[in-house]
Amino acid sequence: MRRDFPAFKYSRPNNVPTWRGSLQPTEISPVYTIKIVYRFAGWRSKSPRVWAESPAISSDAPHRYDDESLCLYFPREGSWTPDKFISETIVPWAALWLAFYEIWLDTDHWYGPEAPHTGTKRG
Amino acid sequence: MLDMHKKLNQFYNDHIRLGEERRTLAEYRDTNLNRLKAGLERLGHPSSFDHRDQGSYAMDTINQHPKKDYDIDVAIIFSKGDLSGSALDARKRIEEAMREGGGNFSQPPEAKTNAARVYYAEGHHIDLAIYRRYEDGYGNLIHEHASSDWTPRDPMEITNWFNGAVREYSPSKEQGTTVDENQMRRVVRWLKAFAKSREHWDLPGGLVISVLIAECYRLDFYRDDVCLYNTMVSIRDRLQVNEDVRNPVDTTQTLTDRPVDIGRVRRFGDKLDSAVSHLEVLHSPGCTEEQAIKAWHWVFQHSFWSTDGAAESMDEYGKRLGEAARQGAIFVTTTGKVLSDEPQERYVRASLQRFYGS
Repeated sequence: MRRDFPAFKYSRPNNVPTWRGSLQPTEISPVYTIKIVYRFAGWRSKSPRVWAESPAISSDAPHRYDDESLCLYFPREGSWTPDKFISETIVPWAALWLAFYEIWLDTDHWYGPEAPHTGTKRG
Repeated sequence: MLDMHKKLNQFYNDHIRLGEERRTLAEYRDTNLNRLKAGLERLGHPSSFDHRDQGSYAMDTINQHPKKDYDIDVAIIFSKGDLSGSALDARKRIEEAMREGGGNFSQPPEAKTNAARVYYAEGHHIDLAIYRRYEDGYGNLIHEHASSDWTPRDPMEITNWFNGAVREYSPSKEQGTTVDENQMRRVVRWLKAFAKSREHWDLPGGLVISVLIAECYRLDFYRDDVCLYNTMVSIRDRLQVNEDVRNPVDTTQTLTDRPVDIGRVRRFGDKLDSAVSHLEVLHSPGCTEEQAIKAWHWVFQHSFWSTDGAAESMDEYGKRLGEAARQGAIFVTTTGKVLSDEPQERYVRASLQRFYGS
């Protein structure tokens, strides 16, 4: 992470493993503060949770879970598994989410690749 | 405000106004009226009727469309004796006659609630609103429109209202203006172009936009760009207080009675608010021409508003980035910049994924 996204720093507030850093998807974008919560537990690891903390994300924005974390991938497709680095998957996907979010804000259309949602969202 | 009056008018003349295309649409209209007449004759129905242009064609507010998806509205007016059945029968008769009259349809003619619609493969469609007329006992000429029932309505009232408003509200040469005549009509066309600037925006149609402009129009004697900006601000402010838009020729009727209409009007207010924010830069003393062009590019999303002739619209950018993401060709730099071309600086190539949920 330090090599690929040096603005991200690790901490453990309330014993919760957390990466927090900034992403700016285009030159004219605001600088977004991103929080990633992830507890590595080998093959039993749960999916990392990702929030865009600031600036505030529109309450109508698509591809978010009920807790407002970002839906970066379709869990059943196995695009993320615990053996993959956060810096090579979750962080670039978060940047991509922000890029498509900004386009959505302007055009009212999500141009990114989508897995249609069915049933209850899972974290 | 940085002066973009001349450039805005160049954009208007080169990319907004129909120009010669207007004559082509008139030819389409005449061809279709001839087809209708032939179809009625073949079916053995009375085939004598008058016609009047309606809608944006009559109001002269049709804008250029890249796919030539033009909407031509024509009122066809029969004597009541020639169209004595129900309104639905009248619309079905016209639908059948249009089918019988032939043409290069992209889909079959269709009797809709207010008109018979005919789609042509060339891209345009024609709405034939059906009227019948008669003289009442006092010698007044009465027109009835075939909608869900026969309803009294003057086929020219909206057109007359609009053309009258343009004449009355726009500054004239006699008053000393230096801008071209009919400024309000240009504002309608610019704001219609703005409302169509993004493929997926679902905003009000031309009539609602025209009514809002007539109500909130802020003329400027010397600059169209100032007039357009001030009118945008004025409509935005009006919609923040009241989202109801009334029929200008019968204010007891609302044009926004359905939730979908209110949603469109609300979104129009939101988009105007965003546009006004983007145009704020024009008021700063140090605003450069490049900044002004970028701001107007945000409004119109047209390559005309570009310093190098290559400004990409947001829809085009979205499609390009979406395709790159589907191909696994997304590169993210150390600061989070997202690119579809491999950069010189350090990057991570994003692996394939799909965003989840609706």
